[in-house]
Amino acid sequence: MLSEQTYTDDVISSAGEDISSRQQAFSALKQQVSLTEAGGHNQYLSCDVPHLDKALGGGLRYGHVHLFSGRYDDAAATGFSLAVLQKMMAADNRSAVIWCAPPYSAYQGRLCCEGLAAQGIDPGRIIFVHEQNPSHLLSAFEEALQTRSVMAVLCEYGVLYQKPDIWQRRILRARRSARSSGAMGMLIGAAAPYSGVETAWLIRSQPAADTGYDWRPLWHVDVRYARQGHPCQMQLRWDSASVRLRMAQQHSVAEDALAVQPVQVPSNNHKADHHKAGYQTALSLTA
Amino acid sequence: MTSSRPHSLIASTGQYRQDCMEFIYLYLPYLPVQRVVSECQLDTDALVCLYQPQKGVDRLVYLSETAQDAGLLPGLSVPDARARQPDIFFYQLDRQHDNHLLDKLARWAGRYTPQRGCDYDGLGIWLDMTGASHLYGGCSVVLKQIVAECRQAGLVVRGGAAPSYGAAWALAHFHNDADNGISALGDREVRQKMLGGLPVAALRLSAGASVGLLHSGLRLVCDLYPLRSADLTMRFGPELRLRLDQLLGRQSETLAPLREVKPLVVSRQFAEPVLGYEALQQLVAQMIADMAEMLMTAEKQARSFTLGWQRLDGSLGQLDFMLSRPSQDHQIITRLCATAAEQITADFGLDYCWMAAHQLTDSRPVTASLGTDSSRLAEIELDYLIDALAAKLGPDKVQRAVPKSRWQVEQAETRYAVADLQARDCGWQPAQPAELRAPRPVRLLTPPQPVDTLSMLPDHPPRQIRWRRRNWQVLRATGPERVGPAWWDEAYSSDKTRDYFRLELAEGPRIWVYREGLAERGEPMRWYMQGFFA
Repeated sequence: MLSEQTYTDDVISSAGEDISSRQQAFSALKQQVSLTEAGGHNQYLSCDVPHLDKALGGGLRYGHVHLFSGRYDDAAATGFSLAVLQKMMAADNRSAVIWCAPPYSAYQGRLCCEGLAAQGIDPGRIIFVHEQNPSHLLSAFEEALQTRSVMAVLCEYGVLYQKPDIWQRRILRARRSARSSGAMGMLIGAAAPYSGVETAWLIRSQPAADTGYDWRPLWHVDVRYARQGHPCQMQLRWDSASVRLRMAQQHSVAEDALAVQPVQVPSNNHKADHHKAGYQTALSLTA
Repeated sequence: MTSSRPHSLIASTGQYRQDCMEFIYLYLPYLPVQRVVSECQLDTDALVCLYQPQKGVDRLVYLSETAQDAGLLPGLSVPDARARQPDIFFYQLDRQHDNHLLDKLARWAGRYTPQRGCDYDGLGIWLDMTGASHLYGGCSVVLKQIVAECRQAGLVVRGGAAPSYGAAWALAHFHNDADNGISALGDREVRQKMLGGLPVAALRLSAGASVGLLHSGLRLVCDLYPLRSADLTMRFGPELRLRLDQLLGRQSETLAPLREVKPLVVSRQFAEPVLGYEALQQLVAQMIADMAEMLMTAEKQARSFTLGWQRLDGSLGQLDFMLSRPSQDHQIITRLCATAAEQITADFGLDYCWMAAHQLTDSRPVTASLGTDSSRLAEIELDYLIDALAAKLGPDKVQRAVPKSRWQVEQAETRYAVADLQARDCGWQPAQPAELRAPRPVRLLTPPQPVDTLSMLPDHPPRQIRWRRRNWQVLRATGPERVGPAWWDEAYSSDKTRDYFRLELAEGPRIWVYREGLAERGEPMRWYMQGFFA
């Protein structure tokens, strides 16, 4: 699932030999520059959606900082970063993940590890850094990004983006750290200025009531900025059981049939009141 | 065998050279057993025996007090002991750990005197209090104090104080009053009488010699006093004479005190006071570079560092940094001490600065260039990161989540500081593909936020909710999942039953709400918003 597409010499040399069109030469040069800029790290995490990968210029790049922003009354940005994290963890089962966050945020609460486990992510592999001061939090983010044995560092940045000078300086420093180690930095929070980041995303939850019982997350993903590619928008669905992101329109009937959970899990909660324990309803109010 | 002989042992010696010396010996008879009991979390009065293979047979070496009371003896083989007492816990003796424990205890005793050491075979530590006891009001006061402190720590200890090491050893091991610490420092006659009442085993003889003495009917030390030394040497060899002299303080004994591990220190003095953040940063960088070089040349690695400074007015300051595994790497120390320059309060400037490395170990470089052990190397690197973060933000800020078996989601996990957790695997069980699980949100609001709802029927999930001063249309809902309170626990007895619903709002967010209270019990029903789904 993790496609480490390394655009190596063959692309460049072939471009050098046979440049028929200007566009080809341009793209080859772009490759070359990106390879030099990345300091050797030119690994991509494929998002499974060719259209999206193309827009990003190959996929989500390791060794860079990505910004996932969303609204306060919605956990879509967290959800999307978890989807990315799940793909990374599935590809590499050793490296650690650092999650820098305030102990509690008034709007978004805190990360619920049981929810992570329910989505197939092992919370035991995540090291949490809890700090109220957002400035300290970002310095921890930067520090963690310098470590080679760390796969991804996530940071909930809070309101620090409201001070543009500090924000920009911190992002540039984080980018430098990420480049030195090859870890992926993910910033999660409200929409923030995206100078210095590799890609900037705006993610919203999308109602999927028409799919009946399918409660898999559906997002409207808006790539606002991609340094190696171009902006794009699409609807993505996270299929955590198969560790994949899918374009919402691409569903085949068979896939949907697999994903549907017609009856909710009866909670084998012996502590609950038993006279109502069997009472399970699944209502679709828009049907 | 008469006391009128002209050359009896006592009469023949002119002076006791060592009357002015002061030794304390602490005997810890149950130390190995107590270590095992605390490590394996056994009952303090459990029958515990430690064995060691001797000539192909596992024989008991150390027994707990209860095991001794039950009639077991050291030297018994394990099957025999098991036949006598079926409910015994057997553990193999681990001398290395016990010796390490004695070392630690001896280091602790360094607060009383620098001359102290361990007697590994005798399960004890000794302190040479000569010239130091007056600081604490006398040797017997120190003895009482140490015995009390050890007892407070839960150790069974017997102590003796005497002018010679041999006598202190004998008193601690064999005197009946050694439990509270027995002192034989005063009058020589009294001391001889006191030592005379001890069995000949107090002479620390080899097994053969002491059996020989017993066979000759010499059971107590005082039986040897009237005998001529030449006769004793002829009959039992030179060892007995030597040990007796050591016991009575006529012969000095060479003891190896515990070697002080000296920290590596680098220091700098300045002609002009150092002031200002930039200068301090440079200063810290210099100290770290010096320290890294010193560690490199000494081939040592250190686990803790102290950065100290002296200000212009002579006042001192100090910062401590800890690593979770020893290192000598310049980069790692730099990362660890990244915040040092900000934490130094220079006031009018510093004129002296030093850096010390403690908890030194020999440097054993790890290579992974051939791809042999890259996972361990990654682990080491991660540990250093955790140390650096803990040094910067505080050790309690770097945490791991550990699951707790609770149905109430807000109580289902605990965060522990990484330093407090032994195991890396925390015990989470992530969902497997195609596994059916109750839905759980990825973000949790604690405490839950109250919402107003509008529903078709009282029992139905809401059609519309009012949350954060907005009305939200509900497109679909599933549920309920009923979670009862932990009624058996006093702390949660006032909690009510909750019915959880998963809602999808028209704007997109998927949220987790619950209804608290049961209508049939006449409880008021309230709705709360508790979390966000991805």
